[in-house]
Amino acid sequence: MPSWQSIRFRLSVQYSAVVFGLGGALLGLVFLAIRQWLESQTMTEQILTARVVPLENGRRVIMPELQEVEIQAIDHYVSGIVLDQVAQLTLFALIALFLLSLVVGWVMSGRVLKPVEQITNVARDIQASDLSRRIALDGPDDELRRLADTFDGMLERLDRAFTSQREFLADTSHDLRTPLAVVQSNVELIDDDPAASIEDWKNVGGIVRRNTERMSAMIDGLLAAARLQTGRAQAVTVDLRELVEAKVDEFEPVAARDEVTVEARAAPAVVQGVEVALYRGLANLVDNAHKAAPRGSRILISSGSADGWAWIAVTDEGPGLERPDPDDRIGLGLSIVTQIAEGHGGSLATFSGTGGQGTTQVIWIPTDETSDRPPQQSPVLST
Amino acid sequence: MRLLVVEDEPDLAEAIARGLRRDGYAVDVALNASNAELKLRSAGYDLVCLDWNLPDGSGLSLCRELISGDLPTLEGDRPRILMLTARDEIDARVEGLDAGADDYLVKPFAFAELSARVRALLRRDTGSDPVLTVGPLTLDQPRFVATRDDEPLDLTAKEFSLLHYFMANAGIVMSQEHLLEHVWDEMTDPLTNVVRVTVSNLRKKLGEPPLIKTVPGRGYKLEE
Repeated sequence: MPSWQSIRFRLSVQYSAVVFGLGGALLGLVFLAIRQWLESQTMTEQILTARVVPLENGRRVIMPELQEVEIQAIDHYVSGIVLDQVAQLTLFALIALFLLSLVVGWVMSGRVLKPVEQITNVARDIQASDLSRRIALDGPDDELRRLADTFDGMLERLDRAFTSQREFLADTSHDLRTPLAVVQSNVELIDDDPAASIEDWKNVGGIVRRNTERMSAMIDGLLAAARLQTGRAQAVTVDLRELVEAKVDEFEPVAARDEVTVEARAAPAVVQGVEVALYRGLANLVDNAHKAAPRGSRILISSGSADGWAWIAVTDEGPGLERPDPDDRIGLGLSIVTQIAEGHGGSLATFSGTGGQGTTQVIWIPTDETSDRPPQQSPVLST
Repeated sequence: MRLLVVEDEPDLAEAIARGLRRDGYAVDVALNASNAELKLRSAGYDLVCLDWNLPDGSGLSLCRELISGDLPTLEGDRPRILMLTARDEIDARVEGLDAGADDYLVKPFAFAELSARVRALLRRDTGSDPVLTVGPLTLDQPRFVATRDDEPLDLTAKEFSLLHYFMANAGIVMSQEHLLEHVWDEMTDPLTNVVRVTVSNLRKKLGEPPLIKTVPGRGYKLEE
């Protein structure tokens, strides 16, 4: 950017033009006023003059004479000199004022614009891959500071969004790789085994079928979350109770094979949402509970609403999921559930039972616009 | 060589174990972290294939505990650690290797690669030559060929594994219990005389003069 296009240059020129204009006008007025005053001072004065009068006797007498004269000529002469002087001084003052105002304008606009420079530099250095930098402008709480803080706030939100996208991608790719690895290893091994029997092949067939079902369920979840995020899914009125009842019917026979009992405690919970996505979220939670549930234990699936929030919750009697390592979050399809909950303006919460035994996972969905933060308590009363 | 596969997907764990057994290793399986911990404490493993995400904990913390000695193994030797996980981000690989893993393999993987990496890790103590040589004996593990004076030996899978272990630890006296720990898996009854029988069969097949010496009261050793 050429310097004459910069705001700094324009500001200082404008500033000095204003100062010069105002100063020039002021000095001009002063000049005119002086001239006016000098001109109005034209007056007549009596002056005493003397004249030598020759007498007849040959002697001469000095005769004093009081005379009234117009001294306009003198007056004109004098004011001419004064006005010239004033005009010269005025010109010098104007030139000095102009130069000084340029310098002052340049320095001051430089000082004012320095934070802008800082904001520009940081913004230029920030890459999409690293949004961790902040402008962190210090100084008084003025307009530019607020601009920088607003910028930082935006970066913070972008950073969070990017990070959660990255984690989501890592989590889902992890979740897809696992069944893929199961299929690949099994197929590879049986293929390399000349002694493999029909039974062995059938066994691998079963493994492949189970894992492709898993992958396709996962892709359904991904699609549901993606549609939700891009706003391409139509929100309709959904009663979470119906989702719970449907899931319980579907899940009961599966759980029975592992001697796990399923209990439904469904209360009406009407939300605006995308049914497929919500059902997928619930299914993922149930899957996790199923994995964690010991033989002979019970899984409780419930729904309800209170205080502007509706919820679906899945409670197991497993060893408890709440662990300090956030890496453990992955591999559970939970990132998809989180996306689905957040896509509905809600969130996913995990509560551990007493003594680290049993886990309750809750999808909170707001039921009215004013709902701000979901309750911090588990909605499921332990029995 | 005895391996432990720690993997929470039963179908995958079983497939890996089957493949590694076919490569001649004694392989045990643990489907969760607590079971893995128990097995690591009570048996002598030469290598652990460790999944990162386990239902009751993280494979990475198991790895750290093994490295730091917080998780003592039966004989005090630390097994080699191969992280086997679906986490493929650079950060995760770096974290895994920095936690002390000897190698890192991302799922899904080709079994041939896993098998090659396991071999590479296990020969770190014996040099980089994939063909082991001790005196007149050679053993080419990838191709499952053992020779004495360039004459191929006709060995069963177990005898081959036992010879491999003897050659990897040539000159060292090893007790029957030690051999049982490292060449047989957990399914073997510790009270059987399977070690004695297999050693004597192997000794016969190796021919004269005998290379495996019995050290009375202490065990066996392969002459260097």
